Amino acid sequence: MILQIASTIDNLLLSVPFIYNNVDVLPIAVPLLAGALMILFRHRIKFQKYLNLAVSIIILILAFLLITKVIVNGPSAYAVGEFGKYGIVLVADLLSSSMVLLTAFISLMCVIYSYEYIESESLNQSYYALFNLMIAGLNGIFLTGDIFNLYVFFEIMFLASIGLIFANEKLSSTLIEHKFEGAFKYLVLGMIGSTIMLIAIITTYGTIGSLNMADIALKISILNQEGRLPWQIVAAGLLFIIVFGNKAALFPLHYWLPDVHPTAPTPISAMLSGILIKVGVYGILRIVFLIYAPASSYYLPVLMLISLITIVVGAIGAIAQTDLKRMLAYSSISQIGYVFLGLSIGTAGSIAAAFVYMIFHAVAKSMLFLTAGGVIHHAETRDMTKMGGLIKTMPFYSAAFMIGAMSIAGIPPIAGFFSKMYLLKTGLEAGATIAVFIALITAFATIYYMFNSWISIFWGESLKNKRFHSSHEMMLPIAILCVFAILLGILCNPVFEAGDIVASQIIDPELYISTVLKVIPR
Amino acid sequence: MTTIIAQTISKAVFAICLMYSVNLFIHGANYPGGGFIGGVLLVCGIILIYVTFGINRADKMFKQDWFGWFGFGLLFASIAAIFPMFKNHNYFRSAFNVVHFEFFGISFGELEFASSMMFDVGVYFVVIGGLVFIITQIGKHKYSPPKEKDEKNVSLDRKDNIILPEPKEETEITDNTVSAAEGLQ
Repeated sequence: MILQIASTIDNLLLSVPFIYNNVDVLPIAVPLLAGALMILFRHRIKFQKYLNLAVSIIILILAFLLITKVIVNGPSAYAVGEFGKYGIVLVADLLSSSMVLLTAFISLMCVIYSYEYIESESLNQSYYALFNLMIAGLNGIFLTGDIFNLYVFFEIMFLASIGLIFANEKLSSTLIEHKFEGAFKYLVLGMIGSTIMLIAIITTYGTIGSLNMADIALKISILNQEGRLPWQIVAAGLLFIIVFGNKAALFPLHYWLPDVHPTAPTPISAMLSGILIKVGVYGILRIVFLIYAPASSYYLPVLMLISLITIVVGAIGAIAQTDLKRMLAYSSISQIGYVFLGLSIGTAGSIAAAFVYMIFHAVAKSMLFLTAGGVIHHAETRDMTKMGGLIKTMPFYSAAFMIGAMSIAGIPPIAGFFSKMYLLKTGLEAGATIAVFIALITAFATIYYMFNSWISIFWGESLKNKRFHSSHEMMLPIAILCVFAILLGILCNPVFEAGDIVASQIIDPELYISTVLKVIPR
Repeated sequence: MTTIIAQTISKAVFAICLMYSVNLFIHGANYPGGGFIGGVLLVCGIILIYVTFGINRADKMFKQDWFGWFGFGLLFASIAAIFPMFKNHNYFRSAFNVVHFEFFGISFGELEFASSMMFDVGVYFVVIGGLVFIITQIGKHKYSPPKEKDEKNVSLDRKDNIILPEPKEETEITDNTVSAAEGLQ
């Protein structure tokens, strides 16, 4: 049925050739243009607000059209400019287009939320412009088929997100010193990561002589068949894993995340925890299974060990926290470990499970962060031990937090349960019994810290008597994300089917490579 | 730094920087140069004026909204990239034409005009606007030791560390912090 709907939409889209031909690049081009307009109109507050809302909705529609095009016609490639063979190529397969759709959806929610939440002084300076540039960078990362452009978009996204961390909240409970500390760690580690990424790109280019992902993958597989795989290739792949592992907060490089994500203003925390750490997952999926696929037997055992340590370390950190947003940040670390566990088992089923886990976690975690923002506004502190009894004054937020906690912990009717069950099931099928056992034990810890925090926030002695009057701008995104968290749980079959297709495309990148090699500049 | 000699010479150097940066910019596409390098060179000239004349006087001399330059440049580059799409080409597709300059039978040489030059114009403005904006913002930022915090660690506004030109806003900020502190108690 989904295929029928998609093909009808695709047929309708064919009548608009401008959008149909350029739908691959428009999710990058539109926010880039919007970022410029936002700077020029930064003194017109109302206009800027509506313009940004319109742009976010347009990007969501474009992402939707892109994914329908990919569902109907398979992966599509797009040559930017006119640089001859394998110039700058954008490739949209199901993985990247669904990541673009996820980004567009979560960012629209965060944009609506930030109208009420962010201090107007910050909003009128550079918030919208940086937000749009960050979206452009994210969409670029997901769509590009070229490792150097991956680096460029990575930098755009990274620098814009640093600027956004400094945006002030209306009722800030974060000290500016903490913001500086977090942003400094983020900046320094990110810059070191970028340098390492550049070294890896140079190594690959010096050895293979190409920057196009599909071309590199083809050449490396040919070299591997002849038994002449150069050792630098394996090393370059490891360097890429370090960079993306840093972005995704894998174990030895996870310590910056609990400082950065809580100090950012809440909508940006939701973006960071919902989308930006998934950039690391996306990058490692491409590195391990597409570009350096012949060397993946070296990477996967290391990744599995690291992911298990990440799961445990994140869960222990989350149990120990009394700061609400810090607890959620540690929980993000633990959950990203689950995604990497599925990825590192390496069978088609487990990759599909990791993909679905990633999407469900993005919805639930961004919703939890947005809810936490409302709670912090009401309680005027981030310390959970100083909260209590808020269920009487903010029932909507307590229900939303409950649904998010159920999704993260994996309680049946909500989305998170199905992804976690599928992940553990495919892990057992692949024979990774010990890993699944450790993940399962830590899942209990997840239940403990999520519900413990819910109890300490919403139950107990009531400290506030006044009911919290939340604006619609803050409640609407939370409500929509809640509905999605429940709906994705009840109707999770299409997502799992999409996950299977994604996994089959990742395991066997033949289609991806042939699509890219056939691209013609227009 | 603010001697009359330095001021006079920096004005002359600014003019030379301007001309050389335009020269570098026009030769961009095929020879060393281009929007980025030309922009950086002009920024050197502008910053020299800022250093010799002081930030307030130089701001009055230029009367420019440098962040706006950044936005304008980004808009220009973006439009230059989007425009081929209306002509049924791909994003960032470029066309070029060679123009001969000939007046009264005397040839003045030829110049290559590529449509990607419009993109370079955008880069030029982005570089100038971005760099001058960042450097002047750093110059306006004065360090003041952090104030004594309240018992409850109430966050103060970020502008506590920045001395603003308008006294109006400063009073507003103190009002805000006082009311925020009262609200907590």
